[in-house]
Amino acid sequence: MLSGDLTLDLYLCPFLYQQINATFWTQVRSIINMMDLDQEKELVERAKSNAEAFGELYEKYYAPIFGYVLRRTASVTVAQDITSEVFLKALKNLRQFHWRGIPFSSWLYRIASHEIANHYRLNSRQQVSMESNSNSVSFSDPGIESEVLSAEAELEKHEDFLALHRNISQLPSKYQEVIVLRFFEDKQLKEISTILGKREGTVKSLLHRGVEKLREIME
Amino acid sequence: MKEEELIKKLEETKLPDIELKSHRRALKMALLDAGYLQQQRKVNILALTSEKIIGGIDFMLKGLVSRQPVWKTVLLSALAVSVIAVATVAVPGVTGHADRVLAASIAQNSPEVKAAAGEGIMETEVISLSNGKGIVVIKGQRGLVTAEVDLKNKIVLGVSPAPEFSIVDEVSAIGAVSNDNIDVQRYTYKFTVKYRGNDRVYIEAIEPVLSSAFSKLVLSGELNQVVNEILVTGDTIEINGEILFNAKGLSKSDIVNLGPFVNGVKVRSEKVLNIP
Repeated sequence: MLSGDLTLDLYLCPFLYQQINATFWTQVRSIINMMDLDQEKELVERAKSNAEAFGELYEKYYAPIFGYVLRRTASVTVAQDITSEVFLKALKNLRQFHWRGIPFSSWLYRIASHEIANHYRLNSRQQVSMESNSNSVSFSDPGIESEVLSAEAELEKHEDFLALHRNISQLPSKYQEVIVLRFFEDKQLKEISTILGKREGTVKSLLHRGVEKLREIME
Repeated sequence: MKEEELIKKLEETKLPDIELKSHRRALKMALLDAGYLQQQRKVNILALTSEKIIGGIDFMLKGLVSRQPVWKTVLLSALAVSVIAVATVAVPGVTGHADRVLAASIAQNSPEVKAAAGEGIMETEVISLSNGKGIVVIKGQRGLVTAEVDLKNKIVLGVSPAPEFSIVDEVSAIGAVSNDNIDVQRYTYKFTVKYRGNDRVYIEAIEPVLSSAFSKLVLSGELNQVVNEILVTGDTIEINGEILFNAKGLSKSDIVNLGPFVNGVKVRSEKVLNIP
């Protein structure tokens, strides 16, 4: 009973068991991720010319992207507008998206980060509003208005988040995005570096300095 | 506040997890209806060459499997296939690529087409070229129109409203089922149907409409093909299959004279209404 003995030995040595267990699950996770990426790659290729496949991608990523933009902007209406822009840009540029090991989700997050930065830049200059963008997707749905009102009411209930967001929003954009991606979106440094197109070391130092600056603001 | 405390606060703050179902649904529809996913017909030289070579090989095989193999035809077909293959590499215009560009250009610049489709032409697609004439579908601000163009005289012969569905590609072949029994022949087909309507449409089934002369000879073959898919403008669907038919007593020319075997394609569809 070799496996029984091995299990017993591992239980007797909790540290070793923990290490092997962690390594095992890391490997399992990486295999699953690779499988997911392969499937996603195939889906992205199909989505370039197939509405159903694009719909599948959209359904998969609408909620994460909307959530990310909402947690960056703390405004349901702005999140709604920016999410629309993100998916419109993704759709328009999908044929130019070439798989180079960067997950599709990272590409969407990158577009979203750019759109958020654009939104703040345009608002600060007070020149152009999102609504005046001639390329934006337009649709009228009376259900959306009432839905937005109840979503705004729901957002108001998250007082801790809103207070934290008010402080984060005082930081320069480069710190805001790494803090939100790391702590609110639960992204690892490697993924953040892929999304932002920055080196992992740069992201690490941005995160460190961002947290330090946030601490100063909150004091 | 210490850094550790701040990190803990960042990690533990309850985040809003809000879903906007109506926005999600409306945005999806708006994106899919925006027309960016229109499948473009691949008009590249190699694709055209492969079509022509396959057509040539089919013709060559038909000669070989016919009741009395016509060696002259077979040899000429083989020669034609080789010429097309070589000429395509050497002279791209031979494949008809230049004709497609010319047909599209004639249609786009025609005042009649502009009057019918609207000034802002958004999409042009050449769906057929034969005998110096081409059929071009133009999508303008006012809608879809079909233009018949004369390539030699560079004029538009006629403009008419374009149908929502059209056959944009067709490949078919005829051959004996076996060398032992040439009385039963096999007709294989592949049609590509493109949808250009503005509304989303649910396609239930699709089937080729056989000519009355041909349908009398059919022995077997399932014509109705279930699709069950929703199409948006620009999507294409393919229908392919084979039909065995009785060719007893028919010479090769009799069989050829039966054509066209298929008069069109029947599409059973329903419009999809958006949920308010």
